[in-house]
Amino acid sequence: MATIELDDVQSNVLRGFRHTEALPHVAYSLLGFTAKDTARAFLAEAAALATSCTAWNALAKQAGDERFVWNLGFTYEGLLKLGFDARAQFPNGPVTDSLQFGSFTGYAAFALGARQRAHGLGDVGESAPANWQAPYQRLDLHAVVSLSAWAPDGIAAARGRLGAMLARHATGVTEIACELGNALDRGAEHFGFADGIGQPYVEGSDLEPLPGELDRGGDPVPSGEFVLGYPAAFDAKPPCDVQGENLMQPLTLSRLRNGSFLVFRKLREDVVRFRSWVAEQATRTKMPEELFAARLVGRWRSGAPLALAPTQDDPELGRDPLRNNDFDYAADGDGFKTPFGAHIRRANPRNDPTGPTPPQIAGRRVIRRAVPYGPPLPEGSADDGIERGILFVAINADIERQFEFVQTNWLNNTLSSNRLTLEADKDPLVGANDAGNGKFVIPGPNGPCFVWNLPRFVTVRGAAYFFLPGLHELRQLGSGTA
Amino acid sequence: MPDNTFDRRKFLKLGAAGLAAAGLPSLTACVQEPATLPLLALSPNPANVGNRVQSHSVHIPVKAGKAAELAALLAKGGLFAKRTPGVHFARAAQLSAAHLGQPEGSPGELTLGIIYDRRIETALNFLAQNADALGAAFEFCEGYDAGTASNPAALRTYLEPHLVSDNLFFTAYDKAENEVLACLAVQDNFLELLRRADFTDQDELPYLVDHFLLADAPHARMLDEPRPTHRSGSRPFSPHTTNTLTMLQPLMRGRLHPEKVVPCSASRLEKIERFVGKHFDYRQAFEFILREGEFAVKDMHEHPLAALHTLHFARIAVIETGAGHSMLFSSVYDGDFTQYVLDFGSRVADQIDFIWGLTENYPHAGCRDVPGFIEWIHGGQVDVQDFYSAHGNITLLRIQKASQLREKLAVLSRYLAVDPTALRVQLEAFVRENQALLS
Repeated sequence: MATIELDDVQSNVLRGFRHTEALPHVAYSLLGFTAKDTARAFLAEAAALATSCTAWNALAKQAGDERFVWNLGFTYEGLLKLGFDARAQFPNGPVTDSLQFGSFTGYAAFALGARQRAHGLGDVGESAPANWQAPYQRLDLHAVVSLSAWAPDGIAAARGRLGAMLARHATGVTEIACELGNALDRGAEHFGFADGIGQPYVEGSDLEPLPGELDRGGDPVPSGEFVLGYPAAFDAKPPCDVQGENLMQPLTLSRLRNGSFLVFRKLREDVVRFRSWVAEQATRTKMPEELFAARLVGRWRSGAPLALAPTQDDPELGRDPLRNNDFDYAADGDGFKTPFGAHIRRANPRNDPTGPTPPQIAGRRVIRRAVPYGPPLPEGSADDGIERGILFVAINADIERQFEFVQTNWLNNTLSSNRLTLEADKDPLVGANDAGNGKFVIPGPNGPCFVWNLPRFVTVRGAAYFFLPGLHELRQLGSGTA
Repeated sequence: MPDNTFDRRKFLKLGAAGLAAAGLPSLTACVQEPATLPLLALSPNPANVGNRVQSHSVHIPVKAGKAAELAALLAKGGLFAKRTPGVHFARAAQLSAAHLGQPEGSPGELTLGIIYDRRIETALNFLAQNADALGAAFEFCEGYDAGTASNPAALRTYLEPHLVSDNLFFTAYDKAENEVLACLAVQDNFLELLRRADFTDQDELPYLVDHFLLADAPHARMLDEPRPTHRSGSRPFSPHTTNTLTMLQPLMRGRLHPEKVVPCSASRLEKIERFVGKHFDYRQAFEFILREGEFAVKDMHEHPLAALHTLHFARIAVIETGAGHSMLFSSVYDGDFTQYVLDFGSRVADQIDFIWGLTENYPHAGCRDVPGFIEWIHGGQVDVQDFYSAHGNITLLRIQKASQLREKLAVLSRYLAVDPTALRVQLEAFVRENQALLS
C-alpha cells in the first residue's frame, strides 16, 4: 500500500473535505504577481505558513478560535511568472490546437486554464467567461491563498497575516479579490441539501474509510488520483504485470511530487428560482415538494440517499456518516428509487447496472469541497437581490481526465447511464439547461413522471485552475531556486 | 470467392477432415484471399450482403511531392459541406508514408470512407455534390482528370481501381438514413405530445394525438438543417457529437506463433492452427477469424460489437503496406473517446484481443490493460481530416430507442380510443410500459 508523504502534501488536498470534517469558514484570496523577485519574496513568507496534511491533523486536535489553515495554489501563468519552468514540467502543456482528447497525461487543461476550457464544460450563455465576474476575466490571476478555519476569528487572523505580507511586498503582489464563504446549518448549500457527503477514500491518506467510500471492489481510490507522483487508477491493479510501471502518470518529476490540482468555481445558486420551480412542479406532478426535490438530487435535503430512503426522508440516516453513503444502484436498474438523471447518480454512477463499467469509472473521482457564500435566504422570502451560491473546489490529479470528464460527459451529457439518451436530459441541478428547455424523467412503477422546461439553477460566476505544489516545492518556488 | 454460407459452427465441430465428409467447402476455399471485387451492387464485404446500410472506402495514391499541399487543403476542412439523403457518415483522412510503411518522402494516400444506403450511386452522388472541395483534393492525387468529381459515372471509373475491400463491416442499426430521421421525428413528436398533454385540458388530448401521433411528422426534423462536419482528433471536448476513430495497425509478420500473441487468445489460435495447418501467417489468421469467427455473425444483435453502446458502425480492412499488411480500423462512435475505447476492454475483451492481438505492439495483457491499449490505439491513429455525420449529435442508443418507439407507436395508433378519458388511460399505459424509451 502506497504511503503518501502527508507532511509534504498541502492539507487542502486530503484533509477536511468530508461532510463532517469540512471547516465552516473559508477565504480564497486571489493574487496577481507584478514583479518576479518581490513575488518570490512574498512566497518565501507565505510558504512558511502553508499547512500540510500532518499539520492539519495537529491543528484539528487543538483548541482556539484563531487557528487557521493556509494553502497556496498557482495558475499556469502564475508559475511562468515565478520562473517555474512550467513548459518543461508539464510537457503536454498548451498546444492549443492539437489536444489529444483521451490523453492520460494531460496537464493541458491546467495549462490552458479555466477560461479556455469553459465552453467545452457547458459554461455557456449566462455562465460563459464573458459574463464572469471581473477578477476571473483577468489574465494576471496568478495565485490563490486558500484559507480555512474553525471560527471566523481564524479567518480574520489569517487575513491579517496575509494583509501584512501583501503590504510588505506591494510592489510585486496584489490582491485581485477575496472570496469569503461560511457554512450554513447542517453543512447544507443554499438550496438546502447537505453537501459534500459522497467522497472517495484515498489510499495512503491515513484516514479511516467510511462505508461507501471504497470503490465497488472494496478498494480505496489510488493515491495518484489526487496526489502527483503516486500510482493512479488505471495502473493500480494491472490485469497482467506491466513491469509495475506507472504508465498513467509518468511525470514523477520531483517538482510535481506531492502536488495536486485544484479546480475553483464560483457558482451562483438561484434559490428563488429553484424554490418556486420545485413548488410549481411538485404541485403539477402531485408529489410532495420534498420528495420531488430529492428526486432531482438523489438525496433528501437531510443527506439521506433515495437509494436507502426512497419514499420518506430519514434525517437520522442523513446525519449518519456510517450509513448515508453506503449504497449503490445495483438493485435499481429501473431507476424507480433514484432516477437515472438525478444529480448524484450522474456524478458518481457507483455500481449502476445501466452505467459505465468499473474501468470506465476508475480514474474519474474527484474530492469536492464546497462552502456557501452569501447569506441564506429564509424559507418563503422573496428575492432579496443578494447573490449567493457556493465556492466549489474539486481536487484531482488530472483535471481533464477527472473533473472535466464528469462535468462534460456525465452531468451535461448522457454517458452516465444507457437509460439516458436525450440531449435535453442534462443534470437537473447543475446542468447547462440553458434555454430553459431541460427535461427530467422520474421513472416509476406506475408510469414515469416528466418534468419539462427545466431552467438553469446554477450559474458560473468565475473559475480558475490551480496547481497545489508539495510543501518542499513551495519553499523552493519562494527561495528562487525555481 | 469464399462461400458465404460457410458454417462456422460445423467447421469448428467437424474439423478439417469432417468438412469434406459433410460436403462442406474445403479449407482452401475459406482461407484463400478474397478476389478483388468490382464496385458493383455487391458489397465487397460478404457479411454486408443484404444490408441496407453499406460501407465503401477508397485509397487513392497521392502524387509525388503533393502530400504537403494536400494536407494543407484538408486542414481547411469543409470537404463534405453538402448533404445528400441516404448518406450516414463520411470521413476523409490522409495516410502518410509512415502509416503505410513506405520509404520516407513517399506521398502516401488519400482515403475516403462512406457509409450509405444500399446503392453505390448514393455514395457517388454525395461525392459529386461535394465536387468543388473534393475535386480540389483529387487534383493532388494520381490519375485524376479535372472535372471528374462532379460526374458520378466518371467518378466511379476513377475510384474503382482504388477500392479497398472490407473484411468486416458492423452496423448497429440497419436503417436507411431517412428512416433514422423518421424514427427521431416520431420520438420528438411523441415527446411533444406528452409535454403538451401535461399542460392542456383532457379534452384537447384527441387533437394533440391527431396532430402529433397520426399526422405525418409535423416536426419533420433536421432535413434541411446544415450538417455538422468537423475534424476529429482536434477537439478535446466532443461529447455531444458523433466521432470517428481511424487507425492503421500493422499485422504481425511471419508464420503464426500462438505463444507470441495475447495469452487469452493463444489457445484459440492453436485451435485454428490445427485446422488450417502450420503454414498460416498472421494475416491469414486475421482474415480467417473475421470471416469465420464470432465477428462473422450476421445477426446484428448477436454480434460481439453490439455490446458496445456507443458504436454505430465499424469496419476493418486489410491493406497492403510497404512492410507487409496492416489492419485499417474505422469506426463511428458517440461521445468521449476514452469511455468508448474502454468499452472494448470491459465488454468484449476476449473477442477483441483475439483479432487485434495479431497486430504489432498490441499490449501483451490485451485491451484490459488500459494504458497499453490506449497507447496502442494512439500509435496507429490516423488523424481524420473531415468527418460528416448525417445524424449530428444523435447517439446510437437514442436511434435504437427511437426506432423501438416508432414500432410500438405504430401498433398503438391502430387501436386508439376516441373518448378522451379512455385515450388518456391508453396513453398512460403505453408510457408506463415504454418509459425506458423516453429519457
